[in-house]
Amino acid sequence: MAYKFKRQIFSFLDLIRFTKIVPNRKKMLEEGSSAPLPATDDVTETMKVLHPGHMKGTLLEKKEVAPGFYSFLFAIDKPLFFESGSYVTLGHEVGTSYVTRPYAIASSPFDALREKRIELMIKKAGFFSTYMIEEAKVADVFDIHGPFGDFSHESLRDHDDVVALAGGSGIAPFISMARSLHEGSSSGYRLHIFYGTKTLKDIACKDELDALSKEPNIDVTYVLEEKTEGYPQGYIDRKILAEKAPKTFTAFISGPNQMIAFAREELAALGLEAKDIIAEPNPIRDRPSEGKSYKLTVHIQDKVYEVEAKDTETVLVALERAAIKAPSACRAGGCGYCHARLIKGKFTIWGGDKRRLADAKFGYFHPCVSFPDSDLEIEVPPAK
Amino acid sequence: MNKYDAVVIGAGNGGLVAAIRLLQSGAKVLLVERHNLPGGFATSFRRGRFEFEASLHELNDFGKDGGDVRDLFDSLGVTNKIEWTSIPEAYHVICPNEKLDATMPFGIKAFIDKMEEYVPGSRKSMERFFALASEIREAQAYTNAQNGNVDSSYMVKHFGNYVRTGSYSVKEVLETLKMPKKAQDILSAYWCYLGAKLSDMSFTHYASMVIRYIDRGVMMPKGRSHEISLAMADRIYELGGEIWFNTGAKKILTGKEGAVCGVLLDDGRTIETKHVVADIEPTVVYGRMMDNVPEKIVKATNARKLAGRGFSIFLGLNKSPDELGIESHNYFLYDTSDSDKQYELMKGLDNAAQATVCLNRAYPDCSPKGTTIMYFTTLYMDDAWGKVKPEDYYKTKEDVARRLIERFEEYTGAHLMGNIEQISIATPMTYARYGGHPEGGIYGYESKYDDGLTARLLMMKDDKMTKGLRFCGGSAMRLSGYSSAYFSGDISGRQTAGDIKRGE
Ligand SMILES: Cc1cc2nc3c(=O)[nH]c(=O)nc-3n(C[C@H](O)[C@H](O)[C@H](O)COP(=O)(O)OP(=O)(O)OC[C@H]3O[C@@H](n4cnc5c(N)ncnc54)[C@H](O)[C@@H]3O)c2cc1C
Ligand code: FES
Repeated sequence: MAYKFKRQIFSFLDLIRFTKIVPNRKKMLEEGSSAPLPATDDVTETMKVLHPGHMKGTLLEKKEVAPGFYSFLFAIDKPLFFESGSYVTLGHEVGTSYVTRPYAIASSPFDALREKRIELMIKKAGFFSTYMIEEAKVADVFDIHGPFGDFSHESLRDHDDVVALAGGSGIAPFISMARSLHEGSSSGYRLHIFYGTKTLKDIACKDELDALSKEPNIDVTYVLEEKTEGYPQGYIDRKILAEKAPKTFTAFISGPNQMIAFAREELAALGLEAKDIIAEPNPIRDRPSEGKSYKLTVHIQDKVYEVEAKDTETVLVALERAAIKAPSACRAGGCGYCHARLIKGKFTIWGGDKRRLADAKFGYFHPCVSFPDSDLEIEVPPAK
Repeated sequence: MNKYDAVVIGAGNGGLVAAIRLLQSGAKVLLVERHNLPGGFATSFRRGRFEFEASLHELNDFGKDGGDVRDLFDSLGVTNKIEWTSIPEAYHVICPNEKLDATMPFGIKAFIDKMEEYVPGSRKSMERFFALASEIREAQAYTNAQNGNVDSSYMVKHFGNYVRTGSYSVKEVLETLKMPKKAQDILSAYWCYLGAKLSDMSFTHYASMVIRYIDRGVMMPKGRSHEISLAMADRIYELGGEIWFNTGAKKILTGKEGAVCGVLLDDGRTIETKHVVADIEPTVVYGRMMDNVPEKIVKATNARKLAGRGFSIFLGLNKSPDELGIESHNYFLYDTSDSDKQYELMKGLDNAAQATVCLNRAYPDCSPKGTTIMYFTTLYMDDAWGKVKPEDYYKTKEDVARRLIERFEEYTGAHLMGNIEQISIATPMTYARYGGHPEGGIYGYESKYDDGLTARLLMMKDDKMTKGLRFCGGSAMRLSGYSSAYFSGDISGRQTAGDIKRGE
């Protein structure tokens, strides 16, 4: 015989209790406060400072910090607190295109939080950087989005000694880290910067870096390609690291692709485990190709566009060239921010497939690293 | 202007199912989602050579030969789009302060036998527990099928135990069953999945969850929960539905007699519709997305208590589980097995109670050879994170994560520190950001005595307080968790289809 539950002496009392469930809840709901429902809460407000998302950045100052390498100081319209090593995207119309590019934040976290200012450092590289350097003017307003990235010291993963390997414009995130340690917005690790440039005058912010290296938890070594009195000559290699770096450390690499590849080899030769080497890939550039052009059909919400896609350019660039505001952040295939749906057509991924397993299965792709190999029909979410 | 029979707001587990149900009924449906992916919490993310599951530990009631969730997936037409893998054992609960260390299997018989091994003399009470739980699950299936319009004499006749236990807490029922204390402790290990203490949590809710795990089969998708979410999205496209990503709904518009007449999107566009299914907490919908909300609704919404706020750590480790010393798939680690006390401890930032998963122990190929994926989750029963200032945030989250990982090492003897290759930490701020959840809550409203499962199911009609607006998801009538959220989408989707047919 099946078990019959009974808690009260008479089981009908259990049934009566059951009939009270609804009246009890009704009473509870009627007794709620009539004060207005909360429009926000503390966690949400703090979240907005950590992830303000889309900001307006007004250019306050632009100056050349090394030949062809410029600092841009922006006033942002919201307070921001970030972890040094993070990047933002900077967006603006350029001619008939709307483009965004990722740049590491060079300024300090407290500056963004208390003064609502951020500094980016831009090296002349191509389409957008040339626009910024040659045409952007003080008081121009830009779209700044972020912060993004996984290029920050993680005390649970990393050693207490961080060796920062910077090549050229790759110095920006490390300047932020040094400034952050100096002002006390981060702590718990020692920063050893190895900054490689061609010549002495290519070193950006040298006076400030020299001053920061007087801090007990910061030191800076300049490595110059050109033979220069008083400086190690060559590249940042195993020899100089063995000589000047601490015994165990976590390496952060930031710089051009060839520099990252070289540094990885040197660090592996020193016996570093893969987990102790952190590098963020650079945006994918053009692919050398036959110069074919395809038809790209783009669905955004209930709108359809037909644009041209060159096989030398990523699908994302094809969208931007057509002035379609498509989402993007890292432009290197890893952040997933440009996630789009393939309806028809073929493409090739450059720089490694970093999609989620199921994305590949259901035909989603990252336009920022995908080059068209046929006419394509895709669905893209609107950029906000 | 755009016009739809129904707009579903939010492509979380509830919203996805609701959209499929509406499309299956022939309605013209628009699903809008603020994020660029479907799934809400049901998603995944990549870091280096690892792909992390964002939230799913295991999907219950999904047996090879049936199960309510599998049946639902079958009828939605998504089961076969997904590659499934099974889970080895139910859970491993450890509480060294009380010398508790038990690993429990799936299957009622195996579970009872194992319990008898750990707690001699527990058999009879355990058999009774499962008899009650089976009946409760059947009663719920009946309530679901009736859309909450149940016949009470039918209920008493066929599901008498459901009715008789319906008003009691877990604690009260287990005591009535004369279950030995230690067996109660082992059996109730899942409680933190629901986030209410056992003296408060309705027995029907707990029992129905336990039986769904222990008896009804447990699976998980190989492509993480993201695979389920994309499979559902795929089904929506097949059925001719539209999903607009990166598209937030700003306001639900109401007209005559307060009935829904449209949805205003973040980009300023208005969508005309008479029916909205919101995969969002009523607190947010009525507090941030609607104007002129009647006082009755304000009171009823203010009266509810938010359930736990989430905190998770995702680790990619550069050694195998064997090398790290991890034995099990699913751990519960408690300071105390007294859930009332544990609940209090889970209000402060120094909380270290946890539900922890080693994915490789269920799915060995989930990461490259010689590596391991782990997730740690804890809940905060109060708004402790609301007091954390932005400038202290990163330090605080690392401190909390360190405590949880060290606790795991201490209780299990595993060695994780020094082997961490990838780490990602999600806090209430993260959940507030991705899902818009008040205070970073991940479980909707607490499954408290007065607001428990039975009460909500019986009051589905009363809870529909705005014409043209229904709710689904973790804060709705089936409460939180994957299967509950899917079922809520099923119920609200079908009910809305009915509203449309009746020309409401
Ligand atoms: C995390 C991160 C941090 C970074 N931090 C820094 C930093 O601090 N400082 C720094 O200097 N760099 C930094 N970079 C690198 C920086 O983002 C690149 O140097 C920059 O993207 C180069 O952009 P560009 O437009 O000048 O170059 P390009 O390579 O020319 O631009 C990319 C594409 O633009 C396309 N294009 C050409 N014409 C058009 C048109 N008419 N319409 C639309 N598209 C067109 C091209 O086809 C090309 O594929 C960082 C990168 C990352 C990922
Ligand atoms: S923009 Fe980051 S993946 Fe494409």
